[in-house]
Amino acid sequence: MINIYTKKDSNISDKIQYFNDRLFNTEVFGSEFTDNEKQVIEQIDHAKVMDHMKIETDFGIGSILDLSTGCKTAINILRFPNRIISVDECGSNALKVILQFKEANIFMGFPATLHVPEGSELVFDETEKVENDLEYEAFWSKRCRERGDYDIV
Amino acid sequence: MILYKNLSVRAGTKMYQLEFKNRITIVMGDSGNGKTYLYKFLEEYRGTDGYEDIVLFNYKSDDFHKRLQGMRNKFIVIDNADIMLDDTDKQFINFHKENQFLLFKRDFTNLFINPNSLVTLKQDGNIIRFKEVL
Repeated sequence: MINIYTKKDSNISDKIQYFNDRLFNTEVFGSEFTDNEKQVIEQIDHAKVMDHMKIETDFGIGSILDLSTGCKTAINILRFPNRIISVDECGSNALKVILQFKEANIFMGFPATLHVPEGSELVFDETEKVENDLEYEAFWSKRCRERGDYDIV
Repeated sequence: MILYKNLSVRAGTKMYQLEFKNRITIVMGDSGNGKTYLYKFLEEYRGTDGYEDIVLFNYKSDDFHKRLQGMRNKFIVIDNADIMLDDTDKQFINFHKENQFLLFKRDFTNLFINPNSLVTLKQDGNIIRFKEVL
């Protein structure tokens, strides 16, 4: 099940991890990657994980630290299942992969562009189940109205 | 004010050739399409001939909000902008028209932008350019 939080309630705000680059660079870098993680990296960034924390992409050979923020976010979700990981910096390609994870706890601060995968189990704010694109749009329309997102600053 | 109408940035074997049509440009798109890579190379160019007015911010920047408010006549690049900008920052971006902004972000709520402000990066061979989203 994918738990998606959209409200910074006091009971979860301390658990939300916004800075995915920092989390990955400080707590994931240097460790071995599982085959599943390597597959996720290949799916999102089209990067092949090499030895010695190197990756090979269309841009050439670089460090694992050069992975995109969206890709680092996906790995963080796998590595830290007890934390709530913000996906606000993820592109739709990264979100597509993340929503196919069996389990995840994520924070979504605004309506991301995505397609709800068939058969996925998304639960928003611990109460509202979303099973398709129409329900996803309806959820966000309601949430944006509630919090006055489109009032001019 | 548009300070830079064009920017060329060599990034290893790739070349970014960027054309700016608006004071605010928001780079969106898939993860891994070269946004942070561009930021990294802009850091190398910052302060060199022709790139003197470029100021860069990302999640590592100290005193971001305070420093942003002090910017005048600058080309301001902000990576991680979805998690960096608060409403006061957005007001500054909207109303301080003497600055130009290049923002890497996906949520453009409360930013005054034109439809062609929203771009993604499109690679053609070794050349990477902006492609309008709308």
